[in-house]
Amino acid sequence: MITINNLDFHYPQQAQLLESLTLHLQAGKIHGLLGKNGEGKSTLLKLISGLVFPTKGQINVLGFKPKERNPEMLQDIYFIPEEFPEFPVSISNLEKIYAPFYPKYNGEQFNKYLNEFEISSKKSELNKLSQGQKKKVMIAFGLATNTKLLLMDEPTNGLDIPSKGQFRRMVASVEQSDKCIIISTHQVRDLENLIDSIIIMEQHQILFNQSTESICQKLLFKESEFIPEDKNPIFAEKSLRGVAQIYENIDNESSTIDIELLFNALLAEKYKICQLFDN
Amino acid sequence: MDSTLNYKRIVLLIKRYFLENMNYEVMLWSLLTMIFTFIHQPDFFSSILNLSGILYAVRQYKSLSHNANGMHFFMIPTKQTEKLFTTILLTTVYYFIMTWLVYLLGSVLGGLISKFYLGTSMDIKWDVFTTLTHPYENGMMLTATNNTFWQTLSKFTIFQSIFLLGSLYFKKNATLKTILSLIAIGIGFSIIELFIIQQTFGEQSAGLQSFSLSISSNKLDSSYGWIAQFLGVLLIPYLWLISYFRLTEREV
Repeated sequence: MITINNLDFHYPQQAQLLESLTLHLQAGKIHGLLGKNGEGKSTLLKLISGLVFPTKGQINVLGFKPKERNPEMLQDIYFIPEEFPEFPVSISNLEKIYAPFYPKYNGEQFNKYLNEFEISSKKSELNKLSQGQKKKVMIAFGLATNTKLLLMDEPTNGLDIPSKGQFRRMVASVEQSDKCIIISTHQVRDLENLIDSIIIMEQHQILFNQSTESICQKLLFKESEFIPEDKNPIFAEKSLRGVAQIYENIDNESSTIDIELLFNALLAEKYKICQLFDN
Repeated sequence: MDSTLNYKRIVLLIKRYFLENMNYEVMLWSLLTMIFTFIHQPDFFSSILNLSGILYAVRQYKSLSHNANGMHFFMIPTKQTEKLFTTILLTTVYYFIMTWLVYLLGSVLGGLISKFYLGTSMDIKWDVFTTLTHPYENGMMLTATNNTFWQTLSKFTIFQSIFLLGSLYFKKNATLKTILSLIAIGIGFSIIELFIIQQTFGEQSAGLQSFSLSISSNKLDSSYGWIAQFLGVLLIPYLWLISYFRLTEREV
């Protein structure tokens, strides 16, 4: 669905942001895109959607070059940005204006998602809604477009606590077999039990790109008061309940992925961890 | 350049424009109707058409200077040619017709106000595109007509295409920057023109004899004015083409 090869990118008169970046993403998965500030997560989403152009390398999205901004490609991509544009219209007019651009748009789904987010009136002017409510409308609309590729940049920022849960349920309920959802976020807790793969960016490149299944097979996540003397974790850090640890999963034990711990571990022990996955 | 247009998408883009700018449109045309109610002279029509048209054209791509709005604009599933075509349609054809209509409406309203409240006759000049000019030649005043429909339209479209390109080229203060660029280009051309005239006409000498070549600007206008008009009309598609490339190459 998305193929990126040896991609370089920098903004005019700025330092290199992405260098020799290679990434292949398949349909039927929800990908979590993680990285420190300024690593180029949002830029990568912009490159995928053709909003900025690579300085070197190739990108192929749904069989198209994003730079060409082909309408057949754009009608199968929906991008929910972190910052919202000005919409001087009501929710119902937003639907009236933009729904016809997306052939697989489903109005019933939109209404259902709005109800779940407790937005009762479609007559409300979008510009008069709070940032969180605007985000809910855009998430609901984005999901209802049923595009093959759904890009979300910090979708849970500004959402209240119940809405974060609703967001997770909505995204998880989407029929995913031919879809690819990429969620870029710093709110890693919001992605727990939602994503199928974790992509971590560091130093202008993709440092890690593995399915959650593969992570669970290779790594074991534990938390205890202290590190047992006979154990040698790959990475450990202090947590509220003691010490959070990552081990090589030699005995094929099951554990829940601690995304934050994995992220910190990768930054500290990237060679050790990446080597485990390379083998 | 993919020049094929999908009319369904163009209609959707036009619908989008009007739904998102309904308040602005109502305010703009109400204001212009009010202005034309009080001043309905053909010369004034031309000035208002060009001036307000410039502001209208620059406004079309103003949203691109705001990152989120620009992202949203480019993510709308249409071709760039369709987006540009819609903008040209709105800023040129639609704006020209609407200004003309509100001028006529304003003239009628103004005429009615004059008749019923001031008791004067309802004097409305319907032919808005023909104005009388009084050029002087050899000390005599001549009366001539100019500003035909096509001249008014082409002049207006040239302005629109220049400022449309300006709004795509400059991220902020597009109107001012476009005017400043035009002044700079104008000064540049004037210097070249002066240089050519200086080299061609005026005091010349060949051996011991000197002679003077002169040309009347009125004659120059009447003989070669059509060339300027023709080049002006050619400028319109040229500027649209540059706007297209600017639009396709624009990143947000």
